[in-house]
Parts: sequence; C-alpha cells; structure tokens
Amino acid sequence: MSADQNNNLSAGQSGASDESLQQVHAELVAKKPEPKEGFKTMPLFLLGFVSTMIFVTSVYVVHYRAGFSPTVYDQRFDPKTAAGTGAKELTPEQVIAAGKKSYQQVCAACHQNTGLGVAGVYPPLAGSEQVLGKEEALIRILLHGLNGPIVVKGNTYNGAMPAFGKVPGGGYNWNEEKISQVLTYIRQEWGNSAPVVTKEKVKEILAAEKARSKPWTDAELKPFE
Amino acid sequence: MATDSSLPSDLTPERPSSQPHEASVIDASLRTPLTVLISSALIWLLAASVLGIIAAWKLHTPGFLDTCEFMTYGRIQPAQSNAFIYGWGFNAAFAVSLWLMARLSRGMLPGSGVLLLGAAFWNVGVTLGVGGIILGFSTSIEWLEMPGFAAPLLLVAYALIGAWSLVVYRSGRSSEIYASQWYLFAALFAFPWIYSVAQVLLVFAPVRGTVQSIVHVWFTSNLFLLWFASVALAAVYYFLPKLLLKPVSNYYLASLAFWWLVVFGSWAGLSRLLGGPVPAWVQTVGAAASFMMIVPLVVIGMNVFGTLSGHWSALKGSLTLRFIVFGAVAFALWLLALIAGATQGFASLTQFTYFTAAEGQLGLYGFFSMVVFGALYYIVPRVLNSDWASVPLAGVHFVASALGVILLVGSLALGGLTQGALLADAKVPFAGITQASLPYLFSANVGLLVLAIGQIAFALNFFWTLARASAPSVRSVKVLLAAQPEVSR
Repeated sequence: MSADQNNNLSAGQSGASDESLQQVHAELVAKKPEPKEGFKTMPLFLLGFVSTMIFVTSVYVVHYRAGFSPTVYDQRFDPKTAAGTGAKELTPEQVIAAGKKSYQQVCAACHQNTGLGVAGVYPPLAGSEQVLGKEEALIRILLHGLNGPIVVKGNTYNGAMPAFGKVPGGGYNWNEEKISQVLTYIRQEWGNSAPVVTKEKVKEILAAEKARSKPWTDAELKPFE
Repeated sequence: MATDSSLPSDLTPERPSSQPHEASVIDASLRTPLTVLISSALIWLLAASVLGIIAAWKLHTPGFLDTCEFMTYGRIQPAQSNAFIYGWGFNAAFAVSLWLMARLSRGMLPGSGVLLLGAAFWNVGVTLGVGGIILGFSTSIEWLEMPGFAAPLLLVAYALIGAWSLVVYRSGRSSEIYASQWYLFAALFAFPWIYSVAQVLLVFAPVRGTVQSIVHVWFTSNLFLLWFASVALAAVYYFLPKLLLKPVSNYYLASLAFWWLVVFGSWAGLSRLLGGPVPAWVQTVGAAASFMMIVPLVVIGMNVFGTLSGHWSALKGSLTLRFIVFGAVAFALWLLALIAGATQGFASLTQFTYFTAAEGQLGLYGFFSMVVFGALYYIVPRVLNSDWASVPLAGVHFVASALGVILLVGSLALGGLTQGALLADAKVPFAGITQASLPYLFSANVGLLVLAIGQIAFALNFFWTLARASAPSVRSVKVLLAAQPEVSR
C-alpha cells in the first residue's frame, strides 16, 4: 500500500476547501431553475414520480384506513360491508336495555314508568292480559295503534294509542327491531314473564297487514287474541 | 461526466498547509474536545464489541457464562446495544458533527471547557446506565434500557455538547447553509425532542396499552433516522464533493430528499408494527410513509452515485471515500428493506425474525458506523495535525469492517428469511426452527469477531497516532494564532 493510495491519511493532503464547497452550493442554489444540459428531463421525471407516489400512497391509505377506528385491528375492515354481514346479535340483556330506553323515552309518558298506566285512559301493562297474551295482537296494536274502549284486568280504558310502525299515518316509524325490543321489554318487566318478541315476527305481521291504514279497535283484535 | 465542466465553478482544493490558515486554526481549536470524544467513542466501541460477542455466543451455546448473574443474556444484550448506541454512536456523532459544523460554518471553537464538561457528563451517564443494566435495573424497553436516573444526566450533557454546534455556526463567517448543515441541524434539534418524549411516555409516566408500542417504535426509528442517519448523511454530503473535487450532481434536489426524509421518515417506523396488536390505521399510515421513502432513496441515490459516476477510480485512492461509499450503499439497502418490509407479503415473512436484527445492524453498523469511520480517517490527522501512524492498520480496518458487515448482515438476513418461512409452516416444530437457525447465528458471530478485529486495528491506530501527535513538536493553537492573528478575530 503506497502512501499515494491512501493519500487522505496524511494531514497535508487536500480535498476541496470548505469555502469553495459553500460557494458552489450558493451558485447551485441560486441557479436552481436552470438545470444544465442532460438534466432537463430530470425535473419532469421527478415531478411525475413524486406525484405518482403521493397518489398511490393516498389510495393505499384510503383503501386500508379501516375507518381510522381505534378498535379495528384488521386493515381489510370496511364499515360499509361489515355493517351488513358482521352485525352482531344483541344479548338478551342488551335487547331489554334497548327496549327499556325506547319505553322510557316515549311509552312511559302514558303507561308510566311503573307500567300501571292511568285509570280510565291509559291501561296498565303490568299483568295485562293483552301484553302477556298472544303476540299477534300485541304487535298489531303497536304497529297501527288502537282507538276506542278496551278492557284490561276488568277495568275499561278509553284512550288513543298512536301507531308506532312504518305504516301510513304512523308518526314514529320505528323499525321492526326497535318494536321487537320494546315489546320484549314490557313482556318481561314489572313481574311480567312472557316470551320474547322477535323482529322476524314483527316483520311478518307488518307484511300481513300491509293494506291497513287506520288504528285497530278492541273488537277487530278479538280474532288474534 | 461532460456536464460537470459546465457547472458554475469547480471546487478548488484546500491550500497546502505549509502556511497556517483558517482550516487548520479551526481544526486546532477542536483538538482537545474531539480527542476526548473520539477516545471515549472507541473505548465504548470495544466494550460493546466484547459484550456483543458474549451475547451472540450465548445464542448458539446457551451454557456459555450462564452461572454469573451479571452475564445473563437478558442483561448483556441490552448492555451491549446501549454501550454501542449511546457510548460509541453518540460520542462519534458528536465528534463528527461538531467538526463538520465548524468547518462548514468556518467558525472556530471559542473554548472547550463546557464542552469537555458535557462530554464527561455524557460518558458518566452512559457508564451509570450500562452499569445499571448489568446490575439488573434495566427498564426493559429496547434502546431505552438505561435506568431512569441516567436519562436526565444524558439530556443535560447533550445540551452542553450540542450547544457548541450552534456556537460555532453563529461565530462562523460563512453565510451559506450547505446540505450537510441541514442534516446536522435536524439531528441536533430532533434528538432532545424524541428522547425526552420517549423517556416521559415510556419510563417516567408510562402510557397504557398499545400506545406504548407505538411510542416505542416511533422512538427507535426516529433515533436512527433523525439522529444517526442524519449525521451520517451530513458526512456523505460533505466528503463526497470534497474528495472528488466535484459538486454534488443534481444538488438542487437534495433539499427535496431532506424534507421528505424528515417529514415522512418520522412516520415510517410505524410500519414495523405491521400485523402487530395496534389499530389498523396506524399500520396503514406507517406503511404509506415507508413507501414514501422511495423518493429520498431515488434522490439521495442520484446525488451520491451521480457524483461518483465516472470517478469510481477515486475509490482506490481514498480510504475515506471507500468507507463512505460502502455506507451509502448500505443506506440504500436499508431503505429498500424498510420499503419492502412495509408490504404485507414481505412483512408476514420477516416480521419478528432475525431479519429485523439484520436491518438494525445494516443501519447502525453498515451505514452509520462505516460513514463515521470514513469521516474520522479524514478528521483525525487534521485535528491532531499528524499523519495516521499506520497505513496497513487502516487497510485492515476497512477490509475487516466491510467483510464483517457483509457476513453479519448477510447471515442474519438469510437466517431471518429461513426462520420466517419455517415459522409460517405449521408442520415444523418450534425446536426445529431454533435448530435450523443455529448455523446462521454462528456465522453472524464470526462476522462480529471479524468486525472486532477491525475495531481493534482502528483503536490501536488512533491511540498510536494520538501518542505521536502529543509530541511537543506539534503546533498548538496558540502558535497558529500567533503566526496569523487575523483569522482568530
């Protein structure tokens, strides 16, 4: 190994001076927009390249963003498709809780939180034979409402129950699931213990009564009880 | 290339140093602090090497030194990585960045008292930290294993050392800020930020759950990219044009690479969590930022290899250039591995295997350390004002380092791929995978031994040169200033 081969090992060997390094830097920076021959295609190429990279990675991020959700751990998760296929069945406790929420928001105004109703106007739900009886009639009452007198536990009540289903003239437009939840709730609260009401059953009855556009009367419901 | 001659002006060589001039005054003002920093760096490098070989030996011969509590793998391995990173890496980076900043700003160091105090604090901090790990006080967080009491000391020491880069910049007479200085400033301000954030969020008031692993991976990847890689890139951008007497080709693109690296690089590390237990969008953003690293890869590649093209023969003449070009190639490979690792298919093979270790070694040794070695071969003779004591030892250092890195990184990478393929195969028992990776671990260990030979050669050479330079005949700062008072101001 000659000294020449490793000439930078000596203190005296000279590279470019730092002053000229800075000077060339200044000149190159000042002349930035005017690249020399042979470099002309480079800015165009680079512009295209950088834009492509930004485009491709943006598509990637949007595609695999998984809703930017802190609870999603799979990049292929898509809230749109997942809502249809992956919607989870609620546990019985969750169904009751959801039903209770709807009941307290709306139904409790007339039937009361205690489920005892108001004498003469709003019939009680606790221990009511209509609530504990066949779901066929009960679902119909909630879907289309009920007008005129009705006898519950030996007392007569005369009020107006509005339609809650997605029916003509219905002001609430609750979906089948919500109706099934609230019915399940009233059938299992205040000491009641009737079987749950499924949303499939609600759907079935809604389809069967598609033609109906006015509330039921007590007499009309007799065949279903 | 023909286009070079049409560039505004060519670089002019430094004047031969028969007369004392600006550069040698700057070098002389840095002599004491740089000697201290480089000496401590080398001592830590050798210590880390010994610890590393012990740790690696245990991987294929578990019974080795297993009766001593302080020598168990769980203590030796973190002690090694901390000694390497904070002992060798930081001391060396301090030395190189301070010298580069002083030279490029053309400012001399006004005094070295506080700087020496900072260097002492830093090394005491690292000693306490590494000692704490060996005694069993490790925090068990990778690259932050040093017990909490070492961290404040390190930050104070960092402030005392780092401030001098700003001082020489302010006192310098160059009004331009060259590409190397961008990277030095980025490194200078990034480290206290990432280190203090990581210390607070992981050690002092740990965040909960998966956020911990996100903060951790952010810290390790930024410590490499914004500190080690930035300092090394500063050296690459400085020495390449300087030694080739030729401006950096496509220099106007360098700022694009810089900002791209700083902005997207700090997110890129999150792709390390691909397939891990973190929210999917974090993995996606990390992978996207890693893909973005293609841009700095292309630009830095054009800067480095464009400048080199047609001047490959210069590599034969300059040891510094050989080290630096080796480092630049290693950095390109490191970026490629990062980008590839951000794709689902590749990550499913390499995630949680020795391949990750290979990437770490490629970055810290193949890139950072090699570039710093190259820079030191240029800096040391100027700062000490004395030729290297032994040319053959320098040659041994390069050959051993290059061979060692190739052997170490190559066998860990191959071992990692084998391991990944076997892990994905449900029919292979786990013990069989361990058995299959043994030969790779053994050859990686041979790589470490070869690297150690190079390190010993380098340390010998440095301390020998230091001893010779301490002879009274060498000119001191005072003598230089007396000879040419106007440069001191």
